[in-house]
Amino acid sequence: MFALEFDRLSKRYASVWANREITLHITSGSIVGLLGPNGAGKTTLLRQLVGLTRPTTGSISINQQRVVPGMRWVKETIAYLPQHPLALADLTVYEAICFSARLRGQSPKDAENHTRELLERLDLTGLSQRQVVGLSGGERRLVGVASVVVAPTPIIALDEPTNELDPLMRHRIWDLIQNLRHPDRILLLISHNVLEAERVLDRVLIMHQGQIIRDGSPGSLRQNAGDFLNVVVTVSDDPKRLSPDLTGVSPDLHVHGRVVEFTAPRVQALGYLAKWLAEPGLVDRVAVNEPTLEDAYLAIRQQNAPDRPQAGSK
Amino acid sequence: MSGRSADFGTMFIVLLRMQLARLRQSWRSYIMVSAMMPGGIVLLLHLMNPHMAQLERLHIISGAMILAESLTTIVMLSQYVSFLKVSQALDHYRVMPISLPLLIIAMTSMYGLFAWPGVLLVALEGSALDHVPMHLAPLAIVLMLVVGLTMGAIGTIIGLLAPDEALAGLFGNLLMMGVLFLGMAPVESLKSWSLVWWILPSTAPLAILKQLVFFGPRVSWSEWLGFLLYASIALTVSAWLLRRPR
Repeated sequence: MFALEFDRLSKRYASVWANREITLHITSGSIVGLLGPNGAGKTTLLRQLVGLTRPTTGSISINQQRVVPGMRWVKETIAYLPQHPLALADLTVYEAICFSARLRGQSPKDAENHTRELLERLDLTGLSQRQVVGLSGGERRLVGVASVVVAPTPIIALDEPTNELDPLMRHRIWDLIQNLRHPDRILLLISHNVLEAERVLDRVLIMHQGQIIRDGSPGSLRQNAGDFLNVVVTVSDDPKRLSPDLTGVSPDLHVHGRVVEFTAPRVQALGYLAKWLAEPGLVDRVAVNEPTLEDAYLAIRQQNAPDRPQAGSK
Repeated sequence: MSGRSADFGTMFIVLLRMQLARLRQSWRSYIMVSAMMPGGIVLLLHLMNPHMAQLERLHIISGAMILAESLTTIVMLSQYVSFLKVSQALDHYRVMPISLPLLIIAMTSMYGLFAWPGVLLVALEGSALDHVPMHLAPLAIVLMLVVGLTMGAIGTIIGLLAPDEALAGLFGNLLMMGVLFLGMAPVESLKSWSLVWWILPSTAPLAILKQLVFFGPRVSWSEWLGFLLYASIALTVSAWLLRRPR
């Protein structure tokens, strides 16, 4: 067991704070998701952790040992997937993954076995001799993820691992991340696929304008965001018959043909439903869903809108 | 659970193989550029003045050999490093548990290799066209490897400091012009520019190369020592620039 700590960490670029006074304590064995809009300071936080960005103030420590950028033990402890791993572009897919394993201290045989295993798992075997530069964006992303997880370290930081991937590939990456769960490991990941990330996350940090505005389990965030329900109603004829009730009720009201979807506070939503169901022949079908992490995230963002221009990512 | 890294030998071989992939990608264009320009200059000067004095020929041949190295390691490597920096691809190397000086040695060695066809072409021209007597001194091979390393470290420094690829190319070309000028201009006319004389990475290797190749395998240890010190400083600065967080 070990702990990763951020102590009053800040980064300032000229007059812009990329992040500000971030204090966090993360214990091993957890998968932590960093969510937030673009420019919230998520990538800056990971770059500070791996020593690519020097904090303006504050410090990071692993098991009370201060993280100093460039130190070998820091690089051995943390593996990082940046947003643009183009340094591997000239290599073949096999080389990109295998060389990363070799540089992380694996024997030639282990590196080869782990590479083949990952190639198969991510459906990249057919591309193993192709140069990374000739792959699609999604395939390159898979190679990037594979080159990081081929030799797992105690801390793994992934910046948008599922970016540009199709749903099947995203599913495989989430499975891969789930399998990396270990009592002696911390996984930190940034993702915009909030709905999918919920499957694997133990803890969610929502960042906004360089600060952490929510911190908790996906369940607790859903609860704290408010007691909402997501309602999908199929109306028997014209959905406009519901309009008088719904005007102003929900900022994310969607009408597709006869289907009306909205998210509203539980009491209000149930009140509408009771009223509509009491009218004979008005409603064909009803689906009521508990809010997802994505709903909670959207609600939290709504509460924090409009964005102020103080923060930005670098 | 703890992280690991490769031993230095494995690390160097893997880094070298990673750079070799670049050779696979672009060896034709690199070799063409590094061979055509120095080879072309030697041929042009020979055609312009077939009866040139032997000492002048020596300046031109040795200068063109060092120029071939500077084209790949200063001009091309600085542009490549700048591209890696601007696209943030260098981050991949900077977060790996590797020795950054070793990475620079691997990169510069590979780019230095691109210059060898140019060096050999110039040597052939000097021998066949200008009938310059040359000795194949094993130390000359070591010298050219150190020249590649030194100029590569300077190319890396330019690439890391330049804001973009175009400016890296501009600064690299300016330095390459300095190497060209120093390599081929009469030594006496440059002695008054003492600062430029000692800052340019081609000063010491030119003097050593002339001794080794043209005047027989004589070794001036003070010049070697000075040049190795120069190479170490260039390598240290480039590794420091690569390591420093932004």
